[in-house]
Amino acid sequence: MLAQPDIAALLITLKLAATTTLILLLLGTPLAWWLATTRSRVRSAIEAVIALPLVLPPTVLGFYLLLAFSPDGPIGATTAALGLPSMAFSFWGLVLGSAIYSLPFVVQPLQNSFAGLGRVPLEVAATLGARPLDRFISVVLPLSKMGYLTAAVLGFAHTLGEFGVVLMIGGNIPGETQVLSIAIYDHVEALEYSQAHWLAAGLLLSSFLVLLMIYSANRRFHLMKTA
Amino acid sequence: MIEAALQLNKPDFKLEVNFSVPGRGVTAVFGPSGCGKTTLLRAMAGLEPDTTGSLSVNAEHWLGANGSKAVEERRVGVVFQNPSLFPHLTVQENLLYGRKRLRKITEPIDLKELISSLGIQELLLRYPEGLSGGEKQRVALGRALLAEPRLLLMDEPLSALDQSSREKLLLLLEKFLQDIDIPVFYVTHSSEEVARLADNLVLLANGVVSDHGAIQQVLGAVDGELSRSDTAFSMIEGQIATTQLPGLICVDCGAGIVLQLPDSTSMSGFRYQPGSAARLRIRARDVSLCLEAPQRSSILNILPAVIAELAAKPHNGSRIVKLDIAGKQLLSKISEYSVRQLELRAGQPVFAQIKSAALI
Amino acid sequence: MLVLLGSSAYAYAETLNVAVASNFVAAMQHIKRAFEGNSAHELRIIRGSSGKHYAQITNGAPFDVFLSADQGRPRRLVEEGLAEESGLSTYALGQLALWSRKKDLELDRDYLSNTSNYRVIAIANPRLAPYGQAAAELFSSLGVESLVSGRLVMGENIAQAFQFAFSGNADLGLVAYSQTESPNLSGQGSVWLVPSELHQPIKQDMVILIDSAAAFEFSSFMKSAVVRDILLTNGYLLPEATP
Repeated sequence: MLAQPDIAALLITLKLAATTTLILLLLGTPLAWWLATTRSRVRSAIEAVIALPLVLPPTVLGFYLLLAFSPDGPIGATTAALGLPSMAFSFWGLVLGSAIYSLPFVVQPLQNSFAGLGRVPLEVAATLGARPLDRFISVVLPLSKMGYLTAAVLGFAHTLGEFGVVLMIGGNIPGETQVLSIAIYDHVEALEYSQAHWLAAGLLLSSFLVLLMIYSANRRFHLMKTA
Repeated sequence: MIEAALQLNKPDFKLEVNFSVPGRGVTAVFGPSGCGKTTLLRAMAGLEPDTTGSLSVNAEHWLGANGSKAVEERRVGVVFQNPSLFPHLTVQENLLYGRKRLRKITEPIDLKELISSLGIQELLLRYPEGLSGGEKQRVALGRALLAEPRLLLMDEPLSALDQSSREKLLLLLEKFLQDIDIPVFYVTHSSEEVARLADNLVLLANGVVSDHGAIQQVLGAVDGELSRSDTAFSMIEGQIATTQLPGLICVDCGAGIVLQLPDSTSMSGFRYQPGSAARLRIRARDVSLCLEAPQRSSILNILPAVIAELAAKPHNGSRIVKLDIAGKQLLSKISEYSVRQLELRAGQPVFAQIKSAALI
Repeated sequence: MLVLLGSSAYAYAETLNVAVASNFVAAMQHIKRAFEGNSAHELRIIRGSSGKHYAQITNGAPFDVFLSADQGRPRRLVEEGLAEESGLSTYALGQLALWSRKKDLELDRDYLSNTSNYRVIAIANPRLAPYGQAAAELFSSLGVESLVSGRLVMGENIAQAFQFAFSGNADLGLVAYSQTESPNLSGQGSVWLVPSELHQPIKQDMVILIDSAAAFEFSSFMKSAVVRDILLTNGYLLPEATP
């Protein structure tokens, strides 16, 4: 059965996935909107940068984050100058790593959803006197529910399974940075196979329940209806 | 007054227009497909940011030396070709979308009356998804009007509809557009719509205005682009006559002129009220001339007329002849050969035979 | 006799797959050079964590010799019948070191016990790595477990613990002494070699997994004077040097 540290790992994992997803949805919205509507020449370059985490091995990302967090790295120096604790081995360090790692999984569905609306609904709203932010909130958001759903599910699921980045920068601190994927790995390493099985099952079950809730809500409230 | 001097360069098209029309009534923008009518409308609405030049609408400067007013500041109502109702809002919410955003409501419109005159009172709580094309356009029109626009732009609002919906909506527009106090720009490639709706006419071809002005004046320009084209037409105003002949609709055009047309009630489903106003479009090519009154002809409408003016030159073997029928203007397009044969000249009395006329 | 002569006449050069615990790899490179200089056979070194190696061996990985970081895993292989008891031996004794990348620090037991000296100290996970286990034992010997717990960060293995310290994210690291001797470091940082009495001996065992002449030759070579020299110069103690 699940021991206390394992339950803590489960909770940390869920907290990490939820926090990362929320932050990415908030930050990803203006970014995806800009990408979907801009005519700027740098758009392709930005899109390529955002897609980089898709091809970069997570351990590589984690390794460079580790260097960045160190006292003479850019992030470490900044946090020290601001009087903040180092991001290495901290929950918020994991959030940063996860956010970078899962960024394209959130931004791309949002961008596609926004672009798929076409310019007509926005032009209509403008002729009816709606200013840009108003247009976004009253027209784009309601019609992008499917995009948000996809982005949230992908971001959440991707972070749940994250291993490589956490492995490099987590430090395996129980209750703080010891996530499920690491805990399972450690059980395997320590030849504690039955605990590994229990944890993996717990992870699968909770993920399944979360996804089930989301898809059921979608059915009930017709979130996917856009026509 | 609506004064526009607009330039817009797009990758495959160049718009350069210059016109001035009254700030009241319906101005039709007429031209073939691809001539830039939609682009012009979009430029006037402010939807084409690269537009340069100037535009003022009843003393409001929308584009000029001081810059360009943003779309949302322009108080321009637009009815697009495809209704573009917001799918996530009910009809009622759609209708009120613009109105909610007015900083102050200067004209207390009777909502109920507007809704019933548009015939959409049954639809208020429904979503756009299940509505017919005609219903959607009526909602779109209501929505645009409720936002108290300074100018109403309509981009071929009937072209996406089936024949019967088109007919119904055209009837509605005929009455409606005259009642509202807002200037209307109505884009179309249908001469019938122009004839039935327009007070003023702007002719557009290849992104350039070839003529503009009051409708009869533009139609009657015998040497103009329109006259030379295949779509030259005339517009005649009249009233549905009180006495009717079986199988026919009679339109009294004043001064003893009564035009008769086959009754198409069964097709459109609309009963014509005697005494109600009607406008007829008569294609120039459907009008032929005789020097003597023809006898026992199958053509229903044979009217005495005087030749007011001939086009200076023939075009493609035809020439436009402008007729005066008791003060009303009528165009006839006949072969150059006949012009010479019959030795037609201004002032000559003739008989005009009108093969068919589009009505209601 | 004749049979033996016959078989040696037909003996051919083998390549041995040797699974080596990460912490021993540097020393193993030297051993490989020495062995191949004296033998017809070749060694292929597969580095990794001992836990992974164990799991792979039990699932049929083609390793011929397994040099573990601990004693437990080779023992289990013998218990599970995947290796002979006779092929089991201790090949080295690890030493624990306290290391910081800052130079000129006087690192010793007092420095370690005075937890206000540092914010973060990295060790290998005691559940997974014998050096981590030794570090835990060290804290216990010094009586500083509770003081250290809030400052503790665990690496998956000794290499990661070292990485934390080397990058500066951890102020101190309890690592393998052999890592601090590495030429890659070129003498950077400060080090304290932890006296072996303060923790249980870090016995690193090896086990032979196949019945071949080459494997036995290698196993014997590991007890030779050449290898003993290599062990000492690389920061390990000789297997029998138990306090």
